[in-house]
Amino acid sequence: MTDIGILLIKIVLALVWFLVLTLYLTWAERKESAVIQDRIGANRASIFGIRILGLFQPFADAIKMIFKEDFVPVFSRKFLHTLAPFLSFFFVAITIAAIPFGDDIRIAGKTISLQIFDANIGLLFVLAMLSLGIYGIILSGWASNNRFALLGSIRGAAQLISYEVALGLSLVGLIMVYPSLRLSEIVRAQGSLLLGFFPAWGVFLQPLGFIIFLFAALAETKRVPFDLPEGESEIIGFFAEYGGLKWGLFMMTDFMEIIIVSALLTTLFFGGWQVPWLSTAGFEFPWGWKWHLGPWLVTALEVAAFNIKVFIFCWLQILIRWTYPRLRYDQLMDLGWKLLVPLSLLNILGTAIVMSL
Amino acid sequence: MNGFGALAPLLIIVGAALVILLLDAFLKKDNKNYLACLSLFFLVVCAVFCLRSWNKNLSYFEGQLRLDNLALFLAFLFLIAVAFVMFIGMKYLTLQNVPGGEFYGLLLLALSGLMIMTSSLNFIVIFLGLEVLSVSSYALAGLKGKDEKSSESAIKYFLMGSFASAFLIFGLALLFGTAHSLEISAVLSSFRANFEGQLLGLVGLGLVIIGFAFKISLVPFHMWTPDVYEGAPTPVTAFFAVGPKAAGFAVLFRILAPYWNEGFKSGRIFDVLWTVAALTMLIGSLIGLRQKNIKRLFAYSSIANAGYMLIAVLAGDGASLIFFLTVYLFMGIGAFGSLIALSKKDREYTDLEDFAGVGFKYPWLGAIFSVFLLSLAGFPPTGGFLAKFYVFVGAVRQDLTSLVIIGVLTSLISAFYYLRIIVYMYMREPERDVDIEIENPALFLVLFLCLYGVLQLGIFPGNVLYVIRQAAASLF
Amino acid sequence: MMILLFFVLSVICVGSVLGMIISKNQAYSALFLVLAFSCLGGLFGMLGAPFMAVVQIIIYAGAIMVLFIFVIMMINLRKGISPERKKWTLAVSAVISVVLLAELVFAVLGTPPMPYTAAFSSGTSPTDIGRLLFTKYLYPFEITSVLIIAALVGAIVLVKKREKE
Repeated sequence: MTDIGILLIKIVLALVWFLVLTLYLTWAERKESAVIQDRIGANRASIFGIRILGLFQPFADAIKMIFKEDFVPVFSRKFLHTLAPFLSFFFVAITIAAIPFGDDIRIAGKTISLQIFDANIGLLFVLAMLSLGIYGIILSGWASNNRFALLGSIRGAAQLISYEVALGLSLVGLIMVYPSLRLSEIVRAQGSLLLGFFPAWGVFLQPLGFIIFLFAALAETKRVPFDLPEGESEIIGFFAEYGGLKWGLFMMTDFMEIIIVSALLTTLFFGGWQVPWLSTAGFEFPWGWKWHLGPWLVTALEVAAFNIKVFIFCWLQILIRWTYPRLRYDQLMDLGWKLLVPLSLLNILGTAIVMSL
Repeated sequence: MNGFGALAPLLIIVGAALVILLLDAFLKKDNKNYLACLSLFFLVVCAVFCLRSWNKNLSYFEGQLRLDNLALFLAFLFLIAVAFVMFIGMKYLTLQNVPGGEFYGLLLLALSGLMIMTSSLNFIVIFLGLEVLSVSSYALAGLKGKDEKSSESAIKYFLMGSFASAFLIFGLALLFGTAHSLEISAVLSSFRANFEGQLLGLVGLGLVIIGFAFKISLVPFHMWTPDVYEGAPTPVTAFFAVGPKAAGFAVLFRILAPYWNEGFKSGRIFDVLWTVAALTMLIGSLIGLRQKNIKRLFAYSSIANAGYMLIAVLAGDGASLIFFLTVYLFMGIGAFGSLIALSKKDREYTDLEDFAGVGFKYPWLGAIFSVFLLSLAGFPPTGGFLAKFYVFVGAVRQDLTSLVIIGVLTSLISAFYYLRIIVYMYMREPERDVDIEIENPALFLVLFLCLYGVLQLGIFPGNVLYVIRQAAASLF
Repeated sequence: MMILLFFVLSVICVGSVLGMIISKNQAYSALFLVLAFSCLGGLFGMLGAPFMAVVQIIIYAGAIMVLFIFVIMMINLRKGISPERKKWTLAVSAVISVVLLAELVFAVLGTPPMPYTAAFSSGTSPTDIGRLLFTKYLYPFEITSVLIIAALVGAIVLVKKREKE
């Protein structure tokens, strides 16, 4: 019984973390874009006249979206039209289950891992859920019964499928280096040291894989410079026929994808919750110093390290989104199929050769 | 190096296919004949490897790849067939505007599928080989992209083929469920072990046989054959008539011959196949009578011939089956090669009416074609006669007399439609204007070699039979 | 608990396969099939084969069916087989499927129950499957690559535009 209780608590905590971060990512995006465009950004939402940098803005947005009319076009396929945003949301939200937030902790003789679903196929699980997310896009476009929406969803499906190939292949080298598909084990393996002092993070062992994964993952989030499915400025995208809460779900899905991509980048290439030279007993620097820390402090440091890494990648993605222009569709396909896929195959070959030396 | 030696022929063929495809993609030459020459070079190298491993019984991958003499002999046959098809293709490709690089590449891939299929005793490997063969065949059938009939035949072949594969794989699942292994020997010994409770395995085996029956066009599963034969480019049709059929029968024989020996000769599967053989011969010859299109006619002829080959399988008579396949290779490719000889730019002559008077207008071609037709009809002194003769004699020895009687009667019926073409060629006034482009040395080399093969096998079959007996002996 | 989950998954699975067959609209059929595949994935997961489960979802539900639906939605077929023909095909196929069902039932009843051997449940982790693929099943595995090449080349040959036209 306690096991189920612990599991429920973990699920609730992870979802709360996820959703709060999503909400504030919208704020971060507005602020960052404002800075880039030399504006001030959203700062008017206030509670009793207090408006700390517009931090209440996300709540105002949420309230607005919830109370908007839930409009379903008469010509749409009603059931699928309603189902689509929830599917999109669900398949992204569920991936958080596989992300390890920290090392195992021990409470009252029980070992609890800071991860909801620690399967030996964790990485594949994440990829599977991300690939199922395509259905949200396809169904929304098709169920809207609107040509522009359908075209947008077809662009989206083609893009996602194309980049999924590169995304999966770029990780093969990583799986060869840390021979496991279990995300917790991949993170643990990154805690070891190269040559006695250098953290064995994925980005150092698989630099090419990291770059390919980064590009492919950016394309999977469907944001500028890869925003052809939604094309918010001029071409009409797959959620043209949506409004209110359902549109909000699509937007949230986008931001959640940013977080998931950041979490994956962190977990796979930047050591997850690992802090360099921090072990369960405390810091052990390679030049001989030791700094003993209590187990709770170590856990807190690890979770904080994970969060900071995730924040940095979220920031990076927003920076990219507001800096680069959009790719043309043929450029997008060329990048995916003619550059990333061959490069990731080369990466696999190179990794195999180096490992067999 | 036992292992690598066993893999070498396959590696050469697959490598050749890749080289051809890459060369075609990057060297954009208009004349594709250099690709044919290159493929032929690879085929010869492969043949040398096959010859060197004769009688050595090489195997690799824990016996999943087994180059016994039967596999080697069949590989040799396939190599000859593919080389012939490439030669007769050279004229066809330039005249009928068929992409060359893909033709040679896919043909080599199909060849690798044939060799994989026949050189294994493991159902998974056989299935995968069959799929390599089928997938390349679907594309080959649709190579004449502009032509509607070609596309139709590709789609029909694809749909029917996938249907057949579904049967096959469902049967394999049931067999795996009963035998816990997909080695042919293990499956058969599980039949022996639980003689009482083999119903599930029996259904599995039945489904597997149905899967192969589609590929070798036995009767209830022959519907695709005429359309595919008619629509596919003629050299590809020649390949279909020879390659997949030989491989399918070889595999069927590898499964069923030990099965008969396990003492199931009076079982349900035997009875069903007996009926299928009778029906195949009857329908192949009777419906063939009504065909006005030569390619469709040859399709029914190949169905009827499948029936004769099935008699050999039922009799468990490996040597005459292989002899039949060998003869069929020469006469089949010869017949289709003659059809290709009767063609010009963007035009093929495949109607019966087109053949009126051809025998006097092009005496050499007419004579050669007549020999192939006589051989198909089973007249002595051609190979076709001896092939049927050996099959029937072997079957009579195994108490299949009634089936043999049906066989003889149907070959009499089918002789009618072969002879009708000869009658048209020599005894009718030409009604249509048929002018053809003859100059193609490669095509005539093939026709000559096929003619030689048919006559050699019909008159002095001794040497070949000796080799075939060695090959068939490696089965048990 | 597991039994309950099993029944829920299998009922959804069979139901969606039925829906796939009955549904008039091809897009809905394809979507039902996706649902069936996902439930199958769940069933594989319950059988202790998580790798199979995930691969089932990634490959069938996530890749192949997406392409199917993609095409179906693009060409937007509306007409099915004409009704008068449909009646007799329906009758014939009903008879044939009943015969086949009876045959399978007899086959299953006629086969003594075989003990569930542990041979299959021993290696279901990705590592075990990988090891098997590269040792015992290396040859079939490599042939698969030839098969995929053939399929790729074939597909491109059939759909590509001819340059000379």
